[in-house]
Order: sequence, then structure tokens, then C-alpha cells
Amino acid sequence: MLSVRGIEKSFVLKNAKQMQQFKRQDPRICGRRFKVLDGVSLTCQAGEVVALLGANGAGKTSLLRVLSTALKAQKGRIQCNQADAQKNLMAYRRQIGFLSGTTGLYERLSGEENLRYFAKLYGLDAKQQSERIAHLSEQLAMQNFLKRRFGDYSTGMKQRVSIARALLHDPQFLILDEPTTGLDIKARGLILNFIAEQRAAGKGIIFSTHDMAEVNQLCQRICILRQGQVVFNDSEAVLLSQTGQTSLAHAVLAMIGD
Amino acid sequence: MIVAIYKKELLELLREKKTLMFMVLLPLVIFPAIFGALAFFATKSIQDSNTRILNFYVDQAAYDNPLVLKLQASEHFNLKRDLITNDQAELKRALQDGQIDFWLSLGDSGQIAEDTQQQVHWKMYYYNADGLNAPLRRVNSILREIQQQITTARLQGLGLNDEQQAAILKPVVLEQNNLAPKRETMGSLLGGFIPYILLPLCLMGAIYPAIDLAAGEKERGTLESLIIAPVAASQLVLGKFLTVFTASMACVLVTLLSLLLWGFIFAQGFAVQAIVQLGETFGILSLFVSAVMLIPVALFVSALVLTIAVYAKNYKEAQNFMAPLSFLIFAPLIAAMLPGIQLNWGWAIVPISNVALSIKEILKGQADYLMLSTIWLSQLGLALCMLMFCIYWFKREAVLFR
Repeated sequence: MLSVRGIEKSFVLKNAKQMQQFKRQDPRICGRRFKVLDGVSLTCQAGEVVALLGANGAGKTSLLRVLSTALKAQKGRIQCNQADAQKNLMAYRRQIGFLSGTTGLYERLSGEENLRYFAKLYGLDAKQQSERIAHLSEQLAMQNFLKRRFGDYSTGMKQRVSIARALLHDPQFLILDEPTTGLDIKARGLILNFIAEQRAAGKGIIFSTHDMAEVNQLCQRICILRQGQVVFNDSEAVLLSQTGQTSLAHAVLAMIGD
Repeated sequence: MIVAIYKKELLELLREKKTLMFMVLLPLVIFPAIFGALAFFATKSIQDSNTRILNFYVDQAAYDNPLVLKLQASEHFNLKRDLITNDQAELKRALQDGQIDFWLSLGDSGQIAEDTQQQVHWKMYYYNADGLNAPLRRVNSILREIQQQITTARLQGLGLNDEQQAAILKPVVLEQNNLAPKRETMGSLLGGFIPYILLPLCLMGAIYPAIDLAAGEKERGTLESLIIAPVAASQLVLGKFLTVFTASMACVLVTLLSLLLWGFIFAQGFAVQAIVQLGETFGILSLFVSAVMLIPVALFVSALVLTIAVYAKNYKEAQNFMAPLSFLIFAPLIAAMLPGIQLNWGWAIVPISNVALSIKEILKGQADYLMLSTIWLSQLGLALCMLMFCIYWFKREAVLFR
């Protein structure tokens, strides 16, 4: 189980321009600090897909970055099975796979060289690297282009190699930050299939999205963030009954507020 | 793990056209081509100004003047006989228009009596806007011969023999006896020059890879994938640092090889002779110790540029940060080159200057090895401190996600 308890994260606002950007009346601003996550708690079980929803600036990306360990939380506890992100960072990282629309790979290396490099970083030996790359290459239909330079790939090809990168070490949990944003219908379908397959394989997935159809299609649980706080964390059915709405989009809007 | 990171960074760097441009093409082809072309044009320009036929004017009355006769006898001067005027304004115009390069006003004294002791005044008008003053220089060199002939004739007319003439012309002769060994003199000259050439090369070789491996990763979005991998930040930084250091050293070596190669191509035997002479004068050990002295500076420079590149948001910002860095490197180097600056315990604590002065002392053969060891270790310590700071810097969210 991936569990997050009482996470707090704030950033220092650099200048007045930034202060204006975040509006002075925003309760998250305290002096020169902007509290982007305020006591966030949630869990994700193995085989469960959790949708992370919220308006722009609600703290979704920050939360996922904290979960991926790219950012450090100032307060709270993150645990993946027995591995604590603060106390046993490397063990925690080995159980997490992270993918976002902005995480890139090295354009001057081939797809295979990229995968091999990250496999080494995740501690796979030469034999494991070859096996894992061959397996993922077949699963994601990458055999035809993996030897070519990453910079020459189409968006869809890049997305497939990025997915393979996130799965190389066979993580227990996947954290996906708006993985379908900006993708064409084909690449989007690939990602959604991938999420469904991983769920079927027993992996826990937390992903942020603005597409309610994706939530409806894939998720068992919905977590809604508003101004850095969790305002809802339960199933779609509970959300609909709690808000009295008939559509998911309206229910989420009701939760997010202004 | 560091080796895996180092190998990957090096492979990626070598596949970048800009790297090949800065690390290989620039020192191996472009620099020698630029310096070669500069040397060629400078030589040609000097040669041209020395051999170009200079047109001059002199009044007809002075055509039998010894200077005019000598100038006419030279194939590099041409007397403009078709120009007949005594109007100064017209002559000035001719000078400005380039019809003539100078004119002489020799007065009435067409001939110089060898038996008189009077000084004759001649005037030369020329147009020296470029500051080179080639006409005056070339006329003076011909006039010198005439002066010498007249002086000798006049002194002989006074009944003085060669020895007496020499005593009058040069009453005191200062015989020069430089007791400093050749090595010390050469060491002093080259010792100041070598760090001045090599350290900026270290910097140049390190800047681009550092920007590419740090700010470049941020810009391309690959840094996030890297920092969430189960690898300590120190290992990531060390892998990148070793790559930057390798590139820095490679730039120095490639440039030196290029100089040797081009020297051999253009000067052939002379280049080989110069190297052999260098080895014989300073000794291989001194040259080796000088190279070893540079290593901690190259380490420091690599760590410094990597730290700056880690802070930068993108390529452009990194390049802006790097621009003033060259001044920080050059200032202590220039200080070390100033005359009268000697290596002492005071200068030993000034980074970069201390290494430049050490190299001078090593090549002069006057190195105090206790001081050298202290400088080497302190410079290494400084490089390690900078590297530690770079690791600390790399762990900071405020730096990575600015």
C-alpha cells in the first residue's frame, strides 16, 4: 500500500510579481511562503487506480512530485509498503514509477540506450536489463525503433519509451501526472490501455487528469484537491450522492468550487 | 554507479555537434586556421608595406642629391618626375590622393660638402594616418647609410683613425653579461605564459559540457527522471563532474596536440627541434610537475562551472552566468604575470595565481617543493570544497526547480 499522511509543502515566493499572481487573499500565502499542500493524506492499494482531480494550481502536480520524491515534503509521512520515503529513500524509489508529460529522455541516445541507462540506475544487472528491455519492447511494440535515436521519434514513440522507462524496475506503484495531456487519440489510447493493464497486473496507480471520461473508465477512487487540501477521497458513487449531481463533471465542479 | 553515469554523460556529450565543435574542431582546426590566417595576413601586410613601391616627389633642383640618387637607385622607390609643382597645397593634395607617398624638401643644399662641419636640415612630408609610418622608416634606413658615409668621411678629414672614430661615435660601450642561467630566463618567460594559455583552455573545455549536463538537463526535462532514480545526488554530481573534468583536460590536450601537429606541418624540423630544446632546457620532470600543478585548478574550474550550470534555469541563463567567469580566471593569471611578482607564502594562498607562479618557479628550476606541495594540496582542497558545495547545491529544490 502507498500511504500519504499529513503532507505539507510550501514554497518561498520570490518576488512581488509572484505574490500578485497568487492573489493576496489566497489563504495559502503566509508571509513570503506559499503553502501548496496542507495536510494531504491519501492511500492507494495494490490493484487500485486513484484519480487525482482539482483545478489548476490546486496542488496536484506538487503532490505527485512529492510522491515521486522529486520534491521533499516539509511535514508528513510517505510510505510504500514498508519503505519510508524519508528514512529509506532508495528502497522507496525502487517501488515507485513516475511519468509525466514533461519528464523527458535523452534525445542523443537511442531508446535502448536510454532504457539501459535507467535500468542501471535502478540497479538491474546486465542480464536483467536485457530481459526487461526485451519484455517491455514486445509489450509496447517498440522493436522497430528502439535502436534509433530518441530525438528522431514521434510523440507516440517517445511516450512508449517513457512508459517503458517508468516500468523498467517493475515498480509496485505508478504515479502519473497528466499522462494524456497533449497527446493525439492514438497515443492517448496507448496510455489508457497501459494503465488498465498495469492495474490488472496488480499495480497501484495514482494519476492526475482533467478528463472525466478517463476517470470514469479507469478509476476506483477519486481524490479531489482544493487549495492544497483533500476535500474528497472516496468512490465515484459516493461523490455523486454527496454532491447530488448526476454527472461526474458536475460533481467534481461542485467539490472544487470557485 | 558513478562509472555508469560518467559513461552515459560522455557518450551523450560526444554525440552533440556543439561538443565536437568546441572540443575538437575548434582547437584542432578553427583556432590554428584563425591564428594561421592572422599570422599570414600580418606578415603579408608588413611585407607589403616594406616592399611596396613608394612614389615620391622632389624638386628638380635636388635630383642630384645623394639621398634622391640612392632612392632612385632602389627598386622600391619611384621619383614622380611628371609632377612639377612647388605649391605645398597641391603636393598635400597629391599625398592625400595617394599619387605620392611622401615629398622631400631638401633646400638649396643639393650636395653635402664632406669637409664642412655644418648640419644640414632636410624635410620629409608624409601622411601617417595608420601609425605604421612605413615611408619614414624606409627613407631613414637609406639615409642612415648616407649619414654613415658622411660621418666617416668627415672624421677621416679630421685625421682620425678607425679607433678614434669609434671612440667619438660611441664613447661608452656597455658590454652585456647576463649571469642568469638560460633556463631561468626561459622559465621566467614561459612560466608566466603557459598557465595563461592552458587555464583558459581548461575553462573553455569545461563550460559547454557543464551547461549541457546541468542546465541542459533542466531545459530538456530529463533532470526529473534522473533525480527520482534510486541514486544518491552525490553520485549523480560526481558522474557529471568527472565528465566535465575529462572534457576540460581533453580540450587542453587536443589544443596542445593541434599546436604540435600544425607546428610540425608548417615548421617541420623546427617544431621537433623546439620540443627537444624545451625538454633539454627544463627537463621532462619539470614539465611533468608543471602539468601536475594544473590538475587541481582544472578540478576546481570544473566544479565551479558545474555549480553555476546547476543553478541556471536554462542554456541561455547559464551562458550569461559564464561570461564574467573568464575575468575571474584571467585576473589572478595576469597578476601572476606582472613583473616583480614572486612566489612567496603570501601569494601561495591566492588561488590560480599560486599555481601560475609555481609553474614559473618550476620551469626556472627554483621550486620550493614544500611550498609546491602546500599549494597543490590547498588547491585540491579548494576543488573538493567546491565539489562538495556543488553536491549540496544539487540537492536543493530551490536550485533545481527555480
